[in-house]
Amino acid sequence: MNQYPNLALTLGLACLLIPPFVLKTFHPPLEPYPAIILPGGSDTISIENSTVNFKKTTVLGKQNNQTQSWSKIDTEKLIEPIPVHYLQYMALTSFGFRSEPKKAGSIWKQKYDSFMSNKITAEEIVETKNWLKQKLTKLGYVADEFMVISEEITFDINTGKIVSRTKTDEKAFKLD
Amino acid sequence: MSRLRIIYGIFILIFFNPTFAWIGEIPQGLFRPKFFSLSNLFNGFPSYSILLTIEGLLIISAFCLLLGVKARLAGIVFVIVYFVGNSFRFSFGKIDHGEIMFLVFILGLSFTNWGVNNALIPDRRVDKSTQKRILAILAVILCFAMFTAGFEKALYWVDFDLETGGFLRWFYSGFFTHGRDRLLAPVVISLPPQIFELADYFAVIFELTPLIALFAGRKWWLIWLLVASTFHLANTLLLNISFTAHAPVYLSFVTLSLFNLKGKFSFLTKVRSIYFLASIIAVIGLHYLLYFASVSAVYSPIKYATPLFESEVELSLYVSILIWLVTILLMGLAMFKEFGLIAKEHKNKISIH
Repeated sequence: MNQYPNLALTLGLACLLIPPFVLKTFHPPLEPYPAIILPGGSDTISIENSTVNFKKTTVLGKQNNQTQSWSKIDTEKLIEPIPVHYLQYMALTSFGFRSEPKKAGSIWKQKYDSFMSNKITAEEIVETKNWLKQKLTKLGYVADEFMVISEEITFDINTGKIVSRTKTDEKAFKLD
Repeated sequence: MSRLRIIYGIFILIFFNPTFAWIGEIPQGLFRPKFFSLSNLFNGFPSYSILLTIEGLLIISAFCLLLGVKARLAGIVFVIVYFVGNSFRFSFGKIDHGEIMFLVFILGLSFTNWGVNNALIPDRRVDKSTQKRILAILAVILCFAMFTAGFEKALYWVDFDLETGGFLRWFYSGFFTHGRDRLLAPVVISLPPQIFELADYFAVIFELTPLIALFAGRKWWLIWLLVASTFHLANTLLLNISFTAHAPVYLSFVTLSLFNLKGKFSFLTKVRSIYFLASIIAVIGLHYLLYFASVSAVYSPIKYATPLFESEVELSLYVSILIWLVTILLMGLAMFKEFGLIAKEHKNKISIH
């Protein structure tokens, strides 16, 4: 290798750069940090003439008044100081409320799931719920639950209005 | 190279955002580190005081970088400590990619001669050939990084189908979910969506061609860097995504000898140690004073101009535009010089042929 320093450098660089990218490409949860990777973001939306269809995530809370109607929560204020674009990833892992890994078919998948998931204690779950309750109360919402919904939105560019909303997923989080 | 070091130092202290202490206030139940991450060796977020210490180390090392106090060591310490902080910041289930190249470049440039001149405690000089090699390696790393962004896009965005949109996916999710509705974002909505199919193809070509530009020679490489800077300015205006940490990265390949600045920073070597120590303490003190006084745990010194703008977000976008315009200007001048359109006639004067 000493006789071929450029070869050593090339191989070393390849070992540093390629494996993290391969991991991220084929199994995003295994993306390592730090790694030389820039955001792909290769998803697309569908376009039909002058309307576009795209997905949107919204957090709803019950207003702390007589009607207790559901309304949209300012997500930036709900989870601050955590950056707002982390919300959907926190919702995917149910804000840590689910402490046991899902049961899967094969023993190897179970071992993998157990290895990948973090064990969060019951006290930590209570701490998280209390934190979210304080946030909801501060924002004027009932503190016992909130919802994270995913919608497919159809937007008309000509009128600048949302034509339709279709709920594709809904997760309710009880905090009591 | 020393001017580049000073630019990086100023960028970190004014525009960058090395704040991690807010993580110490988050409930441990939200700790979801990635599997291949330093933070996965821990059971939870570190305490507030540990994260505050991390911030202090970052500020000290950034200051040492700016003033050239063992800049090589300061750069390495800054990057390692920042990686540690980031591994906890990215323990909410998502890794952000906006800063990785900035950090990698600081690490790489720490092994060049950027800490030798205009420095209070200069580094040991390395061979010019070593310095050139490091810059070449950094250029290859930048090309690979761009490839990682463009590869997936090439698979899905180059579909010759006007009924799908990749750029528009970024736009609409940002506009309606993340509040990215400022500057020229409303203009995107007013235009026919099909025209943004061109943006999809341009993004793929731009992100997959830097290695070709690098091998084609310095002129093409500078052209690619100019296109990259313009790309980021466009993203700031249309998508409200600024990626300003890439500005110093691109400027690393531009010789900043366009303007005769010889001797302008020599005052740094005349500063006595006691003044240097006092200024370090003052900067750290100011940093924590601003931190505790701020209404939000995430801040940068620029935030204190917020009353002049509609919001902190709007302010940061205008600052980003300014950064990219300056970068484009410097890149453009470097390109003109490379193409022989600019030559120095007199000391401190540049004329255009």
